[in-house]
Amino acid sequence: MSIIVKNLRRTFGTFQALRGIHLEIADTQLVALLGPSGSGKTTLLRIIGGLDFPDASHGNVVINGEDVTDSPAAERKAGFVFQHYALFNHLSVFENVAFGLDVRPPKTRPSKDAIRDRVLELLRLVQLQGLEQRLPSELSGGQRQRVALARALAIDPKVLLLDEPFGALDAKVRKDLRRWLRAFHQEIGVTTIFVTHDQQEALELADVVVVMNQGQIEQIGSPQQLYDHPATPFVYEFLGDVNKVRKPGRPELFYVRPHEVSILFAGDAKAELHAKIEHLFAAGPSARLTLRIQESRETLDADITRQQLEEMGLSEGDEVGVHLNLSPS
Amino acid sequence: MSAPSRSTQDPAWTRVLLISGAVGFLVLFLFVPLTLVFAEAFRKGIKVYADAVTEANALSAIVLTVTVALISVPLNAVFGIAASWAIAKFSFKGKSLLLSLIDLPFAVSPVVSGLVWILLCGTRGLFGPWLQEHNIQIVFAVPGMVLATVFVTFPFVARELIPLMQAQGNDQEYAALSLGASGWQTFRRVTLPNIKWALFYGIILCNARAMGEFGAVSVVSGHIRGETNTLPLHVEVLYNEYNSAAAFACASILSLLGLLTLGLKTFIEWRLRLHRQKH
Repeated sequence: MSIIVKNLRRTFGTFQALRGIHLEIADTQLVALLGPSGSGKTTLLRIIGGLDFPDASHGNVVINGEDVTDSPAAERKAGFVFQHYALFNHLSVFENVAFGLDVRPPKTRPSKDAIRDRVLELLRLVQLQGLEQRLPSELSGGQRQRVALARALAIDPKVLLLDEPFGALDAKVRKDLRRWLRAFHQEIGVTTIFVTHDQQEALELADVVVVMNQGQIEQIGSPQQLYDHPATPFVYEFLGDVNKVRKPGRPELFYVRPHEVSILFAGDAKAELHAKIEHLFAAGPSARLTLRIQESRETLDADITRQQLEEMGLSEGDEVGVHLNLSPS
Repeated sequence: MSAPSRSTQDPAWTRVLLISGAVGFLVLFLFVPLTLVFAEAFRKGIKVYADAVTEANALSAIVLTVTVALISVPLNAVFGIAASWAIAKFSFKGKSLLLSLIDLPFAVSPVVSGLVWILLCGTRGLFGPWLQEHNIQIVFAVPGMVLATVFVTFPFVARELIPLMQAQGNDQEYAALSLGASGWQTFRRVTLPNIKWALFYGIILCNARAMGEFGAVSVVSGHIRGETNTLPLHVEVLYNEYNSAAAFACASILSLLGLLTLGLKTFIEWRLRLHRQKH
């Protein structure tokens, strides 16, 4: 289902958490809200889910064409997965997942058998079959995460909202779950928004990334668009490594990614700048050079292939020429 | 148990001194008096004891004590939950004022807590004339004693729940709401199970104080025998009449109540610890 957020403001005391957010999300998309802490991304997610509300008459939330700005969370059918899962500690995995069906009024509540079938089906979907009698305290972090997901899916949500879904997990589990969530989203096809402060996670997982900073949206776009054509210096710096350099005789700052820096021999005519290799790090498919530019004394990171490194016979302390392959933006 | 490491081990004489000091203090101030209560109660034999606790005024005192507790403890459980809910789950102006107000009954002398009701509802009190006009008796009657007890025992439940609810945060409640639960369903199925043991603990402490309260109740009771004497007041009356066997017999019932409370409290603390370890 589509989600539209219009001109949204949210103030906590004197702190403006959101200052005029406008966002349109198409059906079945997987969207990342990306930004540093305090950028307002979680507040935006909570407002979409109905767990928080915008300042009076400052903004609208429209889900699938219906204005839900003032509807309580219970009416929105938004599946919310919390950063620390917020599982009901006193209930088993089964009871946790069944909760959303159990609390329905008798008229719309499915039969006991129907609830059972649905819960078991969901647990199969999140690959937790056989664990239905466990308590949340008896599960690993990754398993709790998936219980929270199954619980949110039990209400047939129109949208799925995930707050830092991988924040509390260790690196290996994170990676596995990330891949799994991507496939899972393709399978269920529910419009999904997740909040993250990890640019790698956002770029790898999302169809659309919304970069937020200080309560405002900096840029919306596909991961590739954002990486290749950052609209603002903030986006440039937030997505991937970036160097800020000046060219001789020109006042403006240039943003250039390490892989856009070409390393030449010192005498090469194409060299725009001259630098000394201060540090060389060559573990992995490419080599990372940390350079000191002779003209401006600024540092510059450059990524080159291992092959080039060997062919040029570079080592620390060598002088090289530098060319910046600035992408037109 | 692992042996204490040498670096944290004090010399033997320090340990002996500290332990014997603590144990000696306990024996002198807790164990000896408590034993004496029971010894005195039974000194003149079972018959005197049984007569003393089944005598009409004693029975009426027991009934009144239980009645007052039965009214004020549930009231304070509800007030306590409501107050701690408000304080732990919402932010509003005057929150810290409310927090200090909850502690007020702990801070003021129980005698003052009793006097307040006389000033409010006594014949010369603020509402006195109106109450008299409508023939409502509060002071020197059971309603006044309930009011005084409610006032004195208000903090117990709230004080237990506030830190726990603050530590638990709101996420589980929000999760329940987003899953479509109503406010009441959220409270009954999510909040209440999470605070269950702390709530029991608060209720036990509240009940112990409600049954044992002397000062505040004494001021509003009027000491009408067989009518407005609770067990603690009855004990005092008997003692003042040099009827020490009966006084100690009734006191032993209060002590038993205390011991029972202690037992329950220990059990609940054990459950509470178990509950916390699990999560």
